[in-house]
Amino acid sequence: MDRKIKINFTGIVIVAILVLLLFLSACESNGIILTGNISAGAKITESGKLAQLLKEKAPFTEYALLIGADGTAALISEISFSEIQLKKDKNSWYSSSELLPPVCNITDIREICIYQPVKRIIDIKTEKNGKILLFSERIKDFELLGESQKNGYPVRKYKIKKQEIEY
Amino acid sequence: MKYFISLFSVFSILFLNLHSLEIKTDNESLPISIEKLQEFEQLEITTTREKNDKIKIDIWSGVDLISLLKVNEINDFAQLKFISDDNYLVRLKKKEILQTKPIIALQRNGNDLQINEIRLVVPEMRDMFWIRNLKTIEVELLQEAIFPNTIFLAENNLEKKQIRKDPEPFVDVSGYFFNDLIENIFPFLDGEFLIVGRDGVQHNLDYQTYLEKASLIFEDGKYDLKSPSMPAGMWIKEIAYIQLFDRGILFMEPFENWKQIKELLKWNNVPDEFYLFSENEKQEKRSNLDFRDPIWEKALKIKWIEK
Repeated sequence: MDRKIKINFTGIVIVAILVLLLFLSACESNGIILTGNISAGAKITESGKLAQLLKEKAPFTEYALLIGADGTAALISEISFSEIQLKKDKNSWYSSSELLPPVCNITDIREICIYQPVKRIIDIKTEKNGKILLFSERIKDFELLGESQKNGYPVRKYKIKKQEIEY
Repeated sequence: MKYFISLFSVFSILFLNLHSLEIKTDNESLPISIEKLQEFEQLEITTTREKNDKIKIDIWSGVDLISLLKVNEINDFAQLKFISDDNYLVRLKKKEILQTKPIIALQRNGNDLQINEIRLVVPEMRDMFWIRNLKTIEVELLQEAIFPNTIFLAENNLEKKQIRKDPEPFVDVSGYFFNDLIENIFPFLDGEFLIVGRDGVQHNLDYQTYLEKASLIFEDGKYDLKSPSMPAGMWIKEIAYIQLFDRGILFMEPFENWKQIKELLKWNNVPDEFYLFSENEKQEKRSNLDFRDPIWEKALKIKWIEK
């Protein structure tokens, strides 16, 4: 009887460790994927100012398209990067700024597609299919809804053309 | 019966396209037939123009544009975009419309105009605004112009490319395709490009309809923008500036300093300082720097420094 309880206890510990590992890996995969003119597999996993977060991963970024799970997207240029925060709320990410136009506040961000001049990223690593979906191609999946500006910071609002996005 | 209905539908669509004007707002599209236009009170105006050194006087009769807008409950707009059947495009600001009181003319000197002759007549404005064979009126809301953060310098960027002899379909000329200039500058092409000539003529044009096949024809140190998909009346002589979103391309040759550019583009101000980029160098400069300064010879772009 004692032996049986001991085995069950060990089993529970193993299961708990597995659950914990799964949870940690799930947290890890909850970062925002960076696509466009950047090596495949790059992610943002910490909160902070976009300028700071891109500094190491994509230092030459000139435009960023912040894409929400519902297909709403906001295109901002580098002068805005230091004025926008990426924050995590439970398991989803959102952007927030008081200075930029309100359309920059995207909820449940899943992807940020970035533009760095191609000549700056010659050594870019390709994706699994051997091709990179460059910024100029990815943005064609979106329809331009309009432009606006606030405090001298311009933004373009986009909506994905397809009905569903798969992440 | 089915065949008859299909035939009728096709005929109706063709008839509607040939015989109607369309007013487009953000939310809806309102087709207005010629018959409907004829039901409006017809206003008569007399215009005087100078054509080929001769004075031309015309009596036009047609529909008051302001009444047409009111009937269709269009009050809230900043400007209207008029497009002809061959894609000729003009814009009139609300203030200009209220001041000049344009009409959509259905008769000229007592004679009915043919369908493809129906035109917008804007008294007190040059007849390049009198768009003929009017097809669409688009309502546009106020949009504050975006100031460019980065400006690329056209001539120095083009110098790195091979000049083309007879860029298709133009012959006996040399120049570049519009695409030669914009590739590697604009990573997206949707939305409207602002295109400005040195004489102040400007158009907001979408890439696919007007600019995809355009060329920059080089003559006497200046570039003219021509495109087979633009009516010749819209071609821009001595192009000075191009902008999409927050990025501009400046042709420096027609200018001596930033003050002249500021005046042409009606910018409120320019920042005091900017970074000037050449192939391998980045320098901080002040915006009172004259364009004849040798420092510009290899400059490819500038970025304003906001303090």
